Amino acid sequence: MIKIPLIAMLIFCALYGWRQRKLSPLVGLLTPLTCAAGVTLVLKPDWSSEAARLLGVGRGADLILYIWTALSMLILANVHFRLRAYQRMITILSRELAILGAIRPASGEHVEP
Amino acid sequence: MQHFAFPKRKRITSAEAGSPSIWLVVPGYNEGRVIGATLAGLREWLPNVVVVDDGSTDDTKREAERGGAHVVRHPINLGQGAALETGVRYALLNEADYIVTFDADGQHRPADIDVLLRAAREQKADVVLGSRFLGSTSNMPPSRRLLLKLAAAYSQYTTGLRLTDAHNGLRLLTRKAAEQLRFRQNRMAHASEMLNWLGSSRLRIVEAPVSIVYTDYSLAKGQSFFSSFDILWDLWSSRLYR
Repeated sequence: MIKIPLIAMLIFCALYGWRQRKLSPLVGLLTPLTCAAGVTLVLKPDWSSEAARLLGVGRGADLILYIWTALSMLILANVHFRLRAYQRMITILSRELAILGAIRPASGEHVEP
Repeated sequence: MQHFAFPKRKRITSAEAGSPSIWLVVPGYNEGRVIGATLAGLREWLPNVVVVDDGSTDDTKREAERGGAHVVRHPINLGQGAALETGVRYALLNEADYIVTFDADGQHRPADIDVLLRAAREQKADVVLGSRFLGSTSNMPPSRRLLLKLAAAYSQYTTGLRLTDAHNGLRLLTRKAAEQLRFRQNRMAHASEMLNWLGSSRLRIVEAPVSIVYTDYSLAKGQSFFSSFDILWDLWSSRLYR
């Protein structure tokens, strides 16, 4: 029964990642792919050992852990990129405020915008 | 994300007919100790100086006002790249024809502004980059020299520009070049970002010899070796998002 909420969460995560593609194409592409791998392993847990052997990562449990780590890193990267985008907006706003409040030499008066 | 465009404003000053308007942009963060002396040297050369106080917590703004500069103050600290772009925008709003960027810590010589202007006029350049390695330096630590040489080699590799000095704060931009300036990097990576932009632009870029005098103050304010890792991270990670 746990498969249903796990798959639902992974699908939600994939959709979230895809929605971020305008901000970061890397996150938009890799997150759904990683989630797809996760869904596959939830549905077919027997495949994990075979896939791990093919990829050379040892046990199937290790492969699942790596996929989880990759997904976490992608979401973390997306948060970082989102913060940078907000920082850019703050910069634009601060610049406008700074120029609006510019002070002329000598007179000390604010420059009329 | 689209770049922000300032609305049309009433002209604040206008250049005299026939003579180019030259503006100096001096970004500063907590430079209250030295900004007065720096401005005193500059005002002898040029009347139009704008200090961008990047959210200082000391008396940088007051000292800059006393020094007779235009003062534009960021409400919060954003970084040198952001401060430079603010100063450049302000100068453009004031009808600047040439914009010279100048560090606040007193390591540049005001006389070198004339060197940049002559290089721009005689070589019909859009951008003139000051080079301490074509000019001279005093009190430069060997570790700083090594770091700057590595930075120049890296910039040459990534931009294709054959430059001797990649991170000199003394630069000249014509109005044409300044109107194209857009930094994504607020902090110290802006210098490398600028070279990347110049390398891919069609602007004419030249170097001119300038002098730099290192003081204990400027060295303490300067970048450490480890800052280069932050710069590289900022530059590489910025390629992963829009």
